[in-house]
Amino acid sequence: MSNKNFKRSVEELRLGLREITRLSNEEKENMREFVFQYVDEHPFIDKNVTESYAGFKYSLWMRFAVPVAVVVILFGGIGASMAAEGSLPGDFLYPIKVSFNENIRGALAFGDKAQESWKLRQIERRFEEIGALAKKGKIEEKSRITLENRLNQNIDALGLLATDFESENKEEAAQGIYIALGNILEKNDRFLNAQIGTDNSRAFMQTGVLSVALSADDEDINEGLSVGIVIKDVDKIKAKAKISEISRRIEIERDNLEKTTLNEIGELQKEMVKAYENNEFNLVIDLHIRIKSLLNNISSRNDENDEDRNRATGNKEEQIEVDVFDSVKINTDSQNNKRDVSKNEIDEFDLVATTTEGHSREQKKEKNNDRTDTYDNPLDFLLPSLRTDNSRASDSGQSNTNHFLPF
Amino acid sequence: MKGQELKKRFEKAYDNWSEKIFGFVVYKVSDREKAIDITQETFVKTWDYLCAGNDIKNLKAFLYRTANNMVIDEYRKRGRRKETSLDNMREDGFQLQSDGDDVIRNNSEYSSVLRIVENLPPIYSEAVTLRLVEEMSIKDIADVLNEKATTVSVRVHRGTRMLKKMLKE
Repeated sequence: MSNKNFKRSVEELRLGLREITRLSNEEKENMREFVFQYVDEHPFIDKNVTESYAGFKYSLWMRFAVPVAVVVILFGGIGASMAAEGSLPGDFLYPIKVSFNENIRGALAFGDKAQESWKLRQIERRFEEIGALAKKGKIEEKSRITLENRLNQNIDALGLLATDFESENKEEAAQGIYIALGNILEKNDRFLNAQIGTDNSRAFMQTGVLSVALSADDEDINEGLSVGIVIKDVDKIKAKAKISEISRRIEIERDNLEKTTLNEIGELQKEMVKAYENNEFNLVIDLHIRIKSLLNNISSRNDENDEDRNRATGNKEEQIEVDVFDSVKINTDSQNNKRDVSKNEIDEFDLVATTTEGHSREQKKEKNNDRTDTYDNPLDFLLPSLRTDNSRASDSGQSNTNHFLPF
Repeated sequence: MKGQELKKRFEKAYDNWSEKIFGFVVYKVSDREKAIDITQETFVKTWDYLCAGNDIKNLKAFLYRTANNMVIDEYRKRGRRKETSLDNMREDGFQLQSDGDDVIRNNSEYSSVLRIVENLPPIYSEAVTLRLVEEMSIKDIADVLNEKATTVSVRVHRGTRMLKKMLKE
């Protein structure tokens, strides 16, 4: 076969195959539609970024970058976090302290008790910061605003917790919060612009809390310094604290009171609640002082009569001190002592421990004087329906009568 | 931006080679429906491969190779090569897609050439078909068959010689 013939044969073969393999128009259309429908449904996504990353990932630098970054973040983070603990408003690290450290600790506080003590501790920390700045001699306006906002936020958060407790019928726990908050506010009253009335200031001096606050480290604070931190509804919060305090106090003392005294106190207490509801907070404070003086008289009389207990609680000197420190005493009961355990754990972190130290010293003293269990005269007419037994558990029953609005 | 470019390139490739790929496949699997499936799949797979960020320098060779691989898969599925020959297809009512005026139709010489090519050992008929019918370069055939260019060149040469010899007889 010549080359020419072969070429012709091949050409025939080609054409013949093309004949067989020709697609009909319909087949062509269907096939095209199928393929391009798929193409449209699976469009190309530019993976330039991914590609460049993939190239980068295997570079030497990148291989070390990830572990190095982890180490830097881990240790740098912990370092910054620890360094931030001592920072004050206006410092570079202060936002880490309040936004990072405190949120972490708040998140790690499991359970109502831990939450409560942490939230109280946060408020204390704000006052410690104010104290530390005050000691430096001046507080920048910017820092003042930061502190004021933070403090109000912290107080709001605590108020929400108290409201939660109330809604869960944990009246006793809610009372504990109000009382503890009231004490913190009183202790730091000199930093506040609160006008709560001269009577209260006097009472406040009498309680001796001020002397604790002004112990050693605080002495160099200018007495006349007004930091000018404004706490929202501070009078209301304090009034609420007073009412909670009185309710608890009456509950503790009720068995020791004579019927007429208890009647009198009960009337005053009702007035107090009414005054609170009418936003007459100064009146609440006045009534608080009156009720307290009534209760104190009873207490000291009982103390004199009961020598056994005096021996049990230590010397007489200390006993008198307790009566003077009465508002603090009310703050402490078994619940608060328990809380102090977790509080002390938290305190390990704190570099500023001035007021905390004073606080726990105070607590220890009061622990010795916890007389709650020693009274045994039933006096039920004040809150007859709620009175179930002599035990401390009835405190919650008592508190039902004082169902206040949250602040 | 790149997506549009890619789609254009793909579309052009489809327009140029879809029918040839189909021809190549249908010649090998002798099953029209199957060949359409394989052709479609060939393009879909190629598109996926492009979308995965792979660069294809010779799109034509890539398409043929993909098609060829799928044909091989098809053979494996069937368990033997070529279940039906083109003759069988015709006997089974296989319709030529001609408009009726093609000179080659009923050409006895064409049939004999086809039969002879079919009778070549598979590796030669494959190389010869791609070279002479599909008019692919040795390099492209090498890409399609995943063989060295020299190997392909030898097969094409031997296959052509065999074909010539057979046609002479």
